[in-house]
Amino acid sequence: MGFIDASSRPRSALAVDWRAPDRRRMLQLVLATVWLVDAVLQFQPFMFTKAFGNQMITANAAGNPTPLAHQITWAGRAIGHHAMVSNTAFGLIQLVIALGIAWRPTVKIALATSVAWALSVWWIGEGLGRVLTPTASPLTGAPGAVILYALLAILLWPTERDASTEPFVAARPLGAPVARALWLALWGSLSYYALLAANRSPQGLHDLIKAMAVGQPHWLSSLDNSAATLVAHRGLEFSIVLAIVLGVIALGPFLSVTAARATIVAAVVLSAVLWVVGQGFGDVFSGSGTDPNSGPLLMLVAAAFWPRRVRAPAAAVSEPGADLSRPLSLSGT
Amino acid sequence: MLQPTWLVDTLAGIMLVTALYCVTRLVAARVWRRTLHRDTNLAHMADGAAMAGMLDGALKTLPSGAWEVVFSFLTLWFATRGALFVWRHGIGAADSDHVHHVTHYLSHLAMAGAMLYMFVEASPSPPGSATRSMVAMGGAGATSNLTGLTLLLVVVLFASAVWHADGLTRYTVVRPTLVGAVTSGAAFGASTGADDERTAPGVDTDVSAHDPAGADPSRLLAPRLEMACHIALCITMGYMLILML
Repeated sequence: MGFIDASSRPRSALAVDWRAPDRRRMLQLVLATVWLVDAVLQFQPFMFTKAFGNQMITANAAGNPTPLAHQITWAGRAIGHHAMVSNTAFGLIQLVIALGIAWRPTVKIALATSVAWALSVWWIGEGLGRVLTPTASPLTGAPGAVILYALLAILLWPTERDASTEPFVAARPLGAPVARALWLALWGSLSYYALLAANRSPQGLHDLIKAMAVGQPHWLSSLDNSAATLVAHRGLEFSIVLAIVLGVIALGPFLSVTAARATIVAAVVLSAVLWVVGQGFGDVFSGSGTDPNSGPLLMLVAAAFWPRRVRAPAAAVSEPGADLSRPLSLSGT
Repeated sequence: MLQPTWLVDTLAGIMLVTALYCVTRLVAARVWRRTLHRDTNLAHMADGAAMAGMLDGALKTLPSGAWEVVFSFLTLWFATRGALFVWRHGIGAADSDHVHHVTHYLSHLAMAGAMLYMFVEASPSPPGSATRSMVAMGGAGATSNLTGLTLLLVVVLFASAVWHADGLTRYTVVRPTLVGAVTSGAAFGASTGADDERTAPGVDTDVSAHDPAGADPSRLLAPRLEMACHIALCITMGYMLILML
């Protein structure tokens, strides 16, 4: 039995129980990155002006039911009246969520906070993603980017459930049937919105894309204008095709592994197209974009449903607690 | 449209403190014979000092053009180190320290490249102007001509920040050793059960070669604080790039 050496101090060393991120953790980190983009966009100069609340927030009242419109207008004016304080708080909350998800000890509390925050922003900041208006469109981000943050927080919730027995990452917290139902609801609703009257009108898609081209960098506005020309006077045809593709994607997780993987790839590609053409990368080049919009989040949701071939039960029993997606070797920066 | 002064000043202060802390680390490591990533800390110091000057003209430390030379060198340095890493270990393998992958060098390459890019892209100061601050950059048409590249750099930097935040728990604290029981190096092995193969986690090979005790993980100088510096630098750099969009 010795005594403490006064000259020695606590020092850092590798933690032996630290594991390299598994697939779910990687997706959580991507989610944290998107939250970080969100947070930093909130600190742009425009957000500190009264126009953020008085114009940007209150604009979401248009077309919504009167009670909701009143709430949005009231909140927008309150935010505009206290622009500096409120925007600082908004940015800091999102920053804390991002870093909280990224830091392992706080991942659960950060994800829970993100759900509460996302729901409140979806309600006030996005007017429920405008899903109650006749102009909701998957092209512009319906059912609202922020609700996808909440969905992802649930789908990527850390549980101790054995990963090797689940067909995809999103099935771990709630089980495969519930996860598949959520997927069906999300992509099914997108298919429905694609067929709304405003979107299937001859110039509906054209006008949406054309409007997005305004204020964008030259290369992006050129791309948008070309896409707008392509769909001009063909709103009905493109809306039907879009709705069919979205409908097929909605059925993806219910199909065989090979077919499901094909629909996941289709979902990622379509999300990327919507993000670039319809959402202009979330309008981040304008100086007034508050988030990257729904494109990257839809891609992230799709990645969480990437199916894998489940091990036979006997193999799973032989290695209790084994997690094939979590390599034991150290990996690093 | 101008940035709130308090925000710019706060970020400039954080960057200045980060740069000063990195200088302190370099000195402390030599005095206390502890190990650290020398090139990374030098790069962090340069990043912090340069960004502090960009955010607040009063904190400008080097004349115009000097930072471009510094970050050109750092970009070249990390590009070379990354290429050498791939040459020696391949793309997917880890370094001899079992911690670093090629992404370590790529993230620092992205940081140095982003700094160089910001200096090149930012509007030049008018003749006679002594300072070029971020407030001016945000409001006087410092908009990037390469918006796609700017956005890509932002995503890479933020991903790097998040990745480092995830890795903070990789390190743990080793309690003071008991005199007469074990040596400090053995205490590490006993307290964590670390494999003998993990001889120099988090330490550059060249650095540990300079330090006889470099193979002892417990001699690392505050690796989590080094990672915290990296996170702060990446977030601030990304923010400044977003203002250029």
